[in-house]
Amino acid sequence: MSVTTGLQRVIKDKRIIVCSGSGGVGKTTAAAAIALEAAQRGRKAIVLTIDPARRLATAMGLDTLGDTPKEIPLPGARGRLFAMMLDTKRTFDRLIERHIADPEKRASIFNNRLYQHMSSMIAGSQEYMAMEKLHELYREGDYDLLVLDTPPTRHALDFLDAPRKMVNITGNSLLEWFLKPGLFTGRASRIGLGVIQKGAEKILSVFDRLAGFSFLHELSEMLSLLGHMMGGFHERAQAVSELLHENFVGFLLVTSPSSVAIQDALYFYERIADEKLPFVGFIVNRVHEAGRASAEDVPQNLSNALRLKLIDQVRNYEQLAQRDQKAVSLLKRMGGKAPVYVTIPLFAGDVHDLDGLRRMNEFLFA
Amino acid sequence: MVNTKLPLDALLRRRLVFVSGKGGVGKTTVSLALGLIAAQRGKKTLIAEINSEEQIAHLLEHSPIGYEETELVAGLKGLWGINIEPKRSFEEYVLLQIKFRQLYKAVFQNKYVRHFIDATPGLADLMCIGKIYSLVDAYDLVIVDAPATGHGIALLEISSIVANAVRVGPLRTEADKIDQLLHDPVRTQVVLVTLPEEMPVTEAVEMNQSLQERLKVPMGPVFLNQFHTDSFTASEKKELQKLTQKPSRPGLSKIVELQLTRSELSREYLQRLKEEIPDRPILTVPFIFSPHFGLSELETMAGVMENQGERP
Repeated sequence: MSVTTGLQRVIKDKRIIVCSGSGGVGKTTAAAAIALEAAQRGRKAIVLTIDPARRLATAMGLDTLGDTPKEIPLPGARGRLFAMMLDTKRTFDRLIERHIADPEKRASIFNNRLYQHMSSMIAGSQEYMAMEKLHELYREGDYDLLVLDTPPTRHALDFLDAPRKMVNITGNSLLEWFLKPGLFTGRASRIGLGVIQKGAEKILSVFDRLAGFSFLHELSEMLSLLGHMMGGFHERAQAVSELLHENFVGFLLVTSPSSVAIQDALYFYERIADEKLPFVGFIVNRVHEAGRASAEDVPQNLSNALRLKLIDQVRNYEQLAQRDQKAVSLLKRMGGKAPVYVTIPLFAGDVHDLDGLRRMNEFLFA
Repeated sequence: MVNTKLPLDALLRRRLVFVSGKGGVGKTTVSLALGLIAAQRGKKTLIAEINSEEQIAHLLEHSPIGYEETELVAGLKGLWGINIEPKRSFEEYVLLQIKFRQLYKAVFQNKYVRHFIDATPGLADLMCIGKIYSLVDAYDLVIVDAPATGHGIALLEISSIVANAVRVGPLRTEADKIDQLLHDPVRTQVVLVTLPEEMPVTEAVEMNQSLQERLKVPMGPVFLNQFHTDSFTASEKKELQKLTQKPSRPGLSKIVELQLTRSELSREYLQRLKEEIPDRPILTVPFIFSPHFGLSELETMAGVMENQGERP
């Protein structure tokens, strides 16, 4: 019997794994590979992904489907594997549908450009939607293991701030004050604000000079609508946050050895540590391995031009191997004593099918 | 025959260049390489990051740049940088409008007003783009290292949204002016950066479409970054095939296989870009083999980019 270590223990013990990291580091692939391994080992696993590469999506049967779980047949596996695409924009639209009963009003909201912009720009809302879906699936309890692939941005952890930001909208007394009927329609109605101190008058006049009352009125209506839509938001956000802090959750950071990606990984690491989320470790993907070959390995019997080119390539490769080694040691130095540090070598092509994922798992679960 | 030198010249004749694309494709390095080329041609050039974690300072081993315009490279005149913070831009803009710092303090340090402003989506974007607008006159060329995909589009779109939503007032006037600049093909070009990989290319194609059709901003060339040139001739490849089949040197075979696949993928994705973005020039930016990426690597990159079109 082999000893269960590192990621093997993680997929055995955890019920939720969240993969974070910057774009282009192979986060989606890593999440899929982890879910696959768990399924191979007998768990009922699901990978939730935001935007998989087209060929990987096809391989997993996600290209034709909306956001419902889909089983990926694994002949001979002890467990089962599911995949699901998270369409965060649709989740947001659905939230409106749920809260605004009047179809005409709904249509006017969907068509409002200001609203369209706002809904996509509310900090962390998409990320938050992903988390809410995760929470929903967890509560339903159909799966042993949920693996979530977060959006590929530095904002991926902004959902942690989302509750606070939303409270600012819904609990904003300035907003309520703005929303007093007739406030924006003219000077006469402002006289009605007699109870409010002089400072408020000043604030209003500044806003008027900058943007005009009619716009402010529209804006506050939008904000109030959002506030209304987000009813119960705070409670749900709280529940999601509590779930993410449970010890059966594990945060994994996926990175490549490029200096930008490493900086991002360390930034995420700090955020995770600040928020006291259960961190399990780093996966460094696409690593050039040192010591693969040297100039002496290039055979003598080749044409001179080719020999020189090959020697050049071996040197080029060694340079990148050096760079990667430095990056990994920086990560180890800065990232403290994480339970898991896995490196995956750079593969020749894109990983875009189950065999590719299995090849990755030879390294992830070595 | 397409002269590939022209697109770069045409690009650097603008006053404002937006460098956009998916996260991790090298927008910052391409922005800097373009900045180096422009500065070497004698243009006073500013590279603007938006609310960034000081990537440029990190790359150039410079102290954090922050909100004050700063010269980036000792010994190279005319290359400047700024890291635009929306909060600072907001303060600057409002002060310009209401003129009195006391009044600003009274109004905008109010807790409720702060919350309202933080909660107003798009305001930060509008303030950033407004700041960029105000910088264009002071430089020959402003290069914006724009945020990734969706956020980058939002930045280019916010002025027209505000122009539509606000009927009168200084905000409207400002938004109109910005929108005119962004849509003026003489002054502005938006360029995309991508990599020879599936996701970045797909995203570049989609982004090109929304920028061109929905936002209707003037588009410049597409930069295919980290491009691997095929260095072997056909007969050399045959020789190599024999070599990679020999199990005696597995390490060497792997390296050769990797390089062959990369140059093949580079060629494939270049072809795909040419097919799917047929009306734009596609310029390749070489992959730089180096254990460290800093100023000298950027200069190498810029050199290759400049000479790319100099074919007989």
